[in-house]
Amino acid sequence: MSSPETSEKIPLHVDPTERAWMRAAIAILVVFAISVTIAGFMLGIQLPTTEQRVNPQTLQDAPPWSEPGVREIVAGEQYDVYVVAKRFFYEPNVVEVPAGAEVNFYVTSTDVQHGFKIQDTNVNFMVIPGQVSTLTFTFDEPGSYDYICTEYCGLGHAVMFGSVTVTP
Amino acid sequence: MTTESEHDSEAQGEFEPRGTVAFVAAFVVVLLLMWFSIYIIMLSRGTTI
Amino acid sequence: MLTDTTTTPVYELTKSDKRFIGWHIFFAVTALTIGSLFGPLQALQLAGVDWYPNIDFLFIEINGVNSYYQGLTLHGVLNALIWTTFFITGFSTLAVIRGLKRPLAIPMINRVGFWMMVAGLVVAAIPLLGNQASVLYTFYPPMEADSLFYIGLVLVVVGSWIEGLGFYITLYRWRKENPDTRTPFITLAVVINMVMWQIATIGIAVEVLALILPLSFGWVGGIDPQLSRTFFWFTGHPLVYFWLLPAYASWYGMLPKQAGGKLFSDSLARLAFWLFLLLSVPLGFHHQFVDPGVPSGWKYIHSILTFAVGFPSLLTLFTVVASLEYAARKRGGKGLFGWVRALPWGNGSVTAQLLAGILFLFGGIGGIANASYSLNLVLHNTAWVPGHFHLTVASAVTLSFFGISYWLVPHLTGKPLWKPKLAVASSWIYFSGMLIFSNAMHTVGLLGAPRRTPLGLAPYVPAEWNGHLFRVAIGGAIMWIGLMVFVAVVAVTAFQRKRLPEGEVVDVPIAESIQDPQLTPVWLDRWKPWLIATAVLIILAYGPQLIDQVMGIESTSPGFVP
Repeated sequence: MSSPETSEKIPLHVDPTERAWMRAAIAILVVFAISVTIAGFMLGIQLPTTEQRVNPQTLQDAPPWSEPGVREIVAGEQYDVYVVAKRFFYEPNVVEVPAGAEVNFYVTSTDVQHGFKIQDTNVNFMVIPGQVSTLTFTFDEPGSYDYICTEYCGLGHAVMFGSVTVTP
Repeated sequence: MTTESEHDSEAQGEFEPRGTVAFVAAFVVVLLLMWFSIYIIMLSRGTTI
Repeated sequence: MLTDTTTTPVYELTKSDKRFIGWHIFFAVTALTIGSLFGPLQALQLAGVDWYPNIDFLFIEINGVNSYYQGLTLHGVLNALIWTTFFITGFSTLAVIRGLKRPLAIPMINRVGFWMMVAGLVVAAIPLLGNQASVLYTFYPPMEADSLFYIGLVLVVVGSWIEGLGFYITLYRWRKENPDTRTPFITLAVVINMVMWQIATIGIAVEVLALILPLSFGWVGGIDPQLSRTFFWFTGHPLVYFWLLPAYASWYGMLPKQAGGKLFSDSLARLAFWLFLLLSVPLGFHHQFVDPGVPSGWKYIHSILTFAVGFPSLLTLFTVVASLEYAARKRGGKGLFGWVRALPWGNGSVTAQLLAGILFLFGGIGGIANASYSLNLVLHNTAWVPGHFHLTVASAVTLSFFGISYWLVPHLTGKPLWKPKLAVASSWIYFSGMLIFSNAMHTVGLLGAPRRTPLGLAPYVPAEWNGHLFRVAIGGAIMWIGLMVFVAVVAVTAFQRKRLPEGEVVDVPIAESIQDPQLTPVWLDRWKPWLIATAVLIILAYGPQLIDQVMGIESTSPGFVP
């Protein structure tokens, strides 16, 4: 048994093969970190960030939330879409936008937490009362894209969905 | 058991974990394939800003 | 080799300690048995088969709604929170006593903590069974459960803290008695886990005591749901390490002995655990990647920190596999991959843990994907997520706990393992079901299927999901059969009349290290620097956002009954 004095100086012994693995493990994690950094900050696949606070109890007393739906900003090019998530439906539950236009989605809730995921796209976020969730998306292909509630919001959660109609 | 203990300090040096290297190498290949396949799905689903 | 008995145990626990640990295991397995009943029902529901009306008799009917969500809440709470916490505190008690080879310093503290956990379980069970708390195990506000649900949870968590206090006093006394000896690995591992848990659960304690209970008691009219989520996930991710680290402790500190070998590197095993203490907590925003109220810059920082906590797991992969290879070579194993066959696959305890490790390889891959920032747009709240954590908590952890139980129950009761071959079979059945289930869940999640949703009722399910959902149901049913075989083996073992031959005991398998633990550097056996670094990192990673969110609190959301 070594004495405490000498043991203070004991170096960390690592098997050479395992040392090589430790380096490789770090390298692999760095590759993933770089890949997500490129996607997020260079390729434009970003996460939602803080937008604005709202009061869920008085939300629908005033525009834009008193009349959620599509707002044309630049015809054929830019649209704002306001969606209110409620138990157990979205208002509106059908949204129509043209293909190729930049669509800014703003979604909030008047009751509990919900989800908002547009199928086959990267639009997927939490909807939290008191907060406005936002992401921007451009639909290249015309067609119908369901948006579904992905967070348990009560007994009717499974039937909560709407759809984006993308016109040519 | 006692004879084994006496050789303990060298035991790690004698034992080369070749099988372990093969095992983790195979794991890394699967890890990279699976991770980048999801990365590609993400890239194919469009930008969000 | 089917049951390892000996006539000369290194250290014997007292009868009362064994009984005390046994109570932990009893409640853990009972919770698992009840909670798992709902597993296959959920899986069937995804495939469009609703069996809930057939099990009405199991519920105490209060308001008449016996739903998928009540079952899902019971499944999550009993399996992920109760089975784990009770098993872990029991196993940790054993690891402290047996590792230090001394009894608990003040056994009364641990007893109080344990029975407080039991009281909490009973209190929470009342609204859970009465469908008054069908809020799932994340209980996101402003959805509200009956107050008893939260009070029960608080009692369980505080009870576990008190048990932890008992461990610390015991370790402190031992240190006074043994100033120059390295803390035995198995003890260090479970105590680090308990410290990490106590730091982590501060988040959920604040959420429940400062935000939820005031709303629940009607003292305030509203709550800030975003702030609640932030506190919840401060605890929520380290929670999964609290489940996982006891399994790691067994893989590092026990499995090598059971497999006939030694731990490959004592130093790196300890290093991995200290890194988990350091890195488990400051990364919770990776569960909030798509939350509206957290700035994306902080999400990015937590993404990188989550990659960092991947490192000790990758380290664990190498050390554990190398320890197993060492054992297999000693047993005559040959070849680059062929040595795997030389492992003692006939031992139910070893088999369970090996299969746990194999499933966890895929759990780890999925975990790295979950850590990966924008990748979350593909994965968030899809069926991928429960697919993932069934490979972690329901495989790496649960199968390892099966394996531990196969020596622990004989050790505690002095009775031989009932039908060792059935013990081996249980893990294989469960493993097969899990492969089918998790593969299908991950795949259908990538296709866009949401989690927490009885898809049999959903109007938007495309035809391409159906085949996968069918596999979910099949896999879930097979897992349940494997689990019931496990329950039968440990229950009959514990309650049979047959005892081990006079003078024979099943000892706790404590692995030696190839390298003398006294040659492990001192800084891998010192608490202070690691605790300070942990506190500093948490303050840096969470401090600014917590201050922002707390200062900006808007308690404008009234409660809603699910």
